[in-house]
Amino acid sequence: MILRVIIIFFTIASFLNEAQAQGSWSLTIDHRDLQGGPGSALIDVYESRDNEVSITTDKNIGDWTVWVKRIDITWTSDFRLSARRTGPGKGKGTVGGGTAYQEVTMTDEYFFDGNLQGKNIPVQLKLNLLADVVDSKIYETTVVFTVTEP
Amino acid sequence: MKKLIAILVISLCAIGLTGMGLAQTTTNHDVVISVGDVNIIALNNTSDVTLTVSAPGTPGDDPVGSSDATKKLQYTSIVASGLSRIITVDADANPPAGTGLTIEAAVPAGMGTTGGSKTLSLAAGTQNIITGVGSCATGTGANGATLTYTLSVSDKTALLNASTTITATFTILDDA
Repeated sequence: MILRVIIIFFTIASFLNEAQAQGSWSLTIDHRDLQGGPGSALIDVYESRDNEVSITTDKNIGDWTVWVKRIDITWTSDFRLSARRTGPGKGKGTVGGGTAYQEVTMTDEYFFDGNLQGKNIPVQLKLNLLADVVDSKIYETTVVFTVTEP
Repeated sequence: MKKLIAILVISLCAIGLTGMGLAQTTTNHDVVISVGDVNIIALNNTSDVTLTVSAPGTPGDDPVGSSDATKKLQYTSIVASGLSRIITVDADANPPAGTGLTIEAAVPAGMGTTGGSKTLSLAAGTQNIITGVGSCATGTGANGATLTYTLSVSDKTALLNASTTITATFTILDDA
């Protein structure tokens, strides 16, 4: 009976690991984003606020790593999305890596790592437009942050 | 005692399995980019184009017209996939008696499906000069669709010593 209680306790503990990302970057591009007058292309770089995303890891973990990828809903290859960590957040542990922009691709890529609870770690997003213009449309992708423990 | 050891061993195994299980959690963040329609057009400059009918080099030959290719039509168009726009030219008057006026638009690749260039006889009224304009930007400065105006003599007996001003207005609009 005691044995079952102990096993259940650790099983639940493993499920309690949680991470949170808050925020949603909505960007509107229109004629005000032309580089010049008629005939000109759209501005080719757009950046979010430096704390557009705020990541908090579970408080019950030691070392952790954050991976990032995107899952496209409606997207175009003329967009390149990048992310960077802009600060350490308010956790008690350390946070390292991820301070330079890196492209967010369709597969998990290492983003940054740390230990103890990472709290409100700020992340900035950047969109590069690789063409002069793109069709008018609502483009949407989901950025997925995955926290793993070694 | 044996029972206690068994409990500890199994508990440690449970801890180990949890640690080795590469516990992972995910969290999401949406990025929504809304690109709106853009529909804007201009000329590289709006100074007058002056075309003349001149005396021939050899007495007895027909008078000769002239041409001008200094104008660039510059436009940025953003439309939904599958849709396109047209560019029209509207002239508010006919060319002088005894002359013919044409306008040719040389369209850069991807900036419309006119087919490279299109020549219209410019007379009072509105005509399509560039069609099939999708999402594109011609560029500015020296870039754009080159407009060539050519004035020719169609009936030398009808020529008059007079000047006529024709205003050409270009409009980009959705292709209905």
